[in-house]
Amino acid sequence: MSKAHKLFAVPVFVLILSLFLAVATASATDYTSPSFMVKDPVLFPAAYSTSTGYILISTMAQISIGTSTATTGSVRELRSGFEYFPFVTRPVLSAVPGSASVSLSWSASVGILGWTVSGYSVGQSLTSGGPYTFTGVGLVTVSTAVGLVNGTTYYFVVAAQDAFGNFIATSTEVSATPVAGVTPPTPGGGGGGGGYVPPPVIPPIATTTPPVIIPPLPPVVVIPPITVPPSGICHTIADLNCDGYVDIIDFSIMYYWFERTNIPTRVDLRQDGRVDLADFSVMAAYWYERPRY
Amino acid sequence: MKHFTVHITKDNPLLWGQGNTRSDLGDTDLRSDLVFPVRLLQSVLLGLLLFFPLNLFAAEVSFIATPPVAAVGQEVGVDIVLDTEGRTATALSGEITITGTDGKPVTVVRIQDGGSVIGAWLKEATTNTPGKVGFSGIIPGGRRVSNEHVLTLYFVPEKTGTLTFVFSGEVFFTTAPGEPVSLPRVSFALLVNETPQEDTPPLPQDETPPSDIRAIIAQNEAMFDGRPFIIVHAKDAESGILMYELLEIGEYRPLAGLENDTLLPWRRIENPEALLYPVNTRYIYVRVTDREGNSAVAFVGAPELSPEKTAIWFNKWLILAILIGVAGLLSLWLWVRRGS
Repeated sequence: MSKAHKLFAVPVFVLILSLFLAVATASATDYTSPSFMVKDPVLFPAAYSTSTGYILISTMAQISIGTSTATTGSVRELRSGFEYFPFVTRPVLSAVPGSASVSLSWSASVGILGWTVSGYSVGQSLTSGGPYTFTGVGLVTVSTAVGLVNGTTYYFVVAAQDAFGNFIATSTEVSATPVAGVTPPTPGGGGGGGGYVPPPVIPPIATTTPPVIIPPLPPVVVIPPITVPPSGICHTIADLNCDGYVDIIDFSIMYYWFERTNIPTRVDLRQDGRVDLADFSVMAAYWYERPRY
Repeated sequence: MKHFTVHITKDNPLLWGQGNTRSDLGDTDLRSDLVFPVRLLQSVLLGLLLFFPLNLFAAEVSFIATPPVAAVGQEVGVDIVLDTEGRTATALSGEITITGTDGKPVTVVRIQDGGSVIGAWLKEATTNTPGKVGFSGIIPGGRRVSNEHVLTLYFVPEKTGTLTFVFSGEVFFTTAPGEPVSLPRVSFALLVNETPQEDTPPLPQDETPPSDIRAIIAQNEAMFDGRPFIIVHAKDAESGILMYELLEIGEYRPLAGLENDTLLPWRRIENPEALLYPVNTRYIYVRVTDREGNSAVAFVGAPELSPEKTAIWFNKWLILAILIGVAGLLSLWLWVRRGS
């Protein structure tokens, strides 16, 4: 390659790379008017909410609106920053007290420009402003806090979460005081009597289709070779996959060889050359299921 | 319920074994040289009488009909109930034959085995063979079973007379793992009248789909030629699970409506069942249907490179591409500098 070619190739490569980088950072836009120009607007972190116990910093702040205000005449309104950025509407939370419980409902948060709401967490505190103890409730817009003490005021917030569990929008705080003898509203319920008539809960009007959450395929459970002696640490002779439990997996493994020929010696628990109900009865005697979570 | 009881009284010399009463050997007093063989015989007989009931009737199956008297054209349910008499059972197998007054086999119209003491079935009861229902399964962990439901058979008698049920089967106990113990053969007769009794309560109908569907994808070199396979487990408290179906497709489908879908390539599977496609190349769904047609669908997982995941990884790939580009640029610059 000649020197002239080399000198030509470098700028071309830089130009291509610049275009590539420009696409990746195309969000930054200069703002102009006949009187002024705002160059290279940036986003900056902003204090979202504080208390004596914690500070919550949002990842970006909306600085394009309200940075300064304009009246009339020669005073210009300055609107700096990004006009378009990922945004999630804040859920509007309401709470209805019950007996030792509080029914919570909120409007669905709507994410735009790339942010998707994948679930909600309900924060609960005995102190206004927090700190809150958050509990994930999934992609729902109602929840009930139970096990509360009647007569005690509780403070709640609800936070929308993205697919990674990050809090991307948090409601304003609401409070409720559970009272003995009060029946909180139940979705779809009817009838019954009582002195307390809860206010009607108007469901949010859905303007967008709720996001679809598609869980990934769980990892494949690799069953170690069924050998004699077994590989791994087996709970009992019936723990065929040596995972410490005798459960439906072991049952399925044995069922694979049910009434078959050429069965592995270790699957044949009675060592009589076949897998039948007698072998399964031995497995049942050793049954030891893993605790549910 | 049947019980065998041995009555031991002083009036029964055979059982009590006292020589000072009138003997079956004669009116004379027992001579001393005869006392030992007679007592030995008495002891052996006593032992046999006590031994056999303990082993033969350590568990039994009984029938409970609802309504107790059937009527022509009216569905009747016959519940098969197990009692292990305090012993811990781990497995049960059985066969029930049902014949009418004319001796012909009677067809079972439906079966419910939800909520059974059998926790996992090896051979599920079916209505395929007229007049005969066979089953086997295990009681996970082993349990003392006290008059608990095994399964319920439903019939619609076509003529008056008697339906006769005969049960035979085996049970396994923890005291002798893997050794079957024969259950006593039990017969049960159900009277069929012309007209139904008044105030007959309706029989239970299952309208609740299966729940708690769990699926595991596993792999073992000795099973299915090393291909990944799926294990599905679900619960149905009423009629019981009828079948599992598997769907492996290339695009995501929302769960709503899949319960009754007939267009997608669902395939009925055994448990376990090998996957048709390599792992992480298809969206996998499982449909579980109970014996009365209620279905529930569970989504097992998305492929590794689904559009959703691709979107998540997009930014990471972009950053990687930029870094590679910068590295390439630097390398080029150094190469050009060295060359010049």
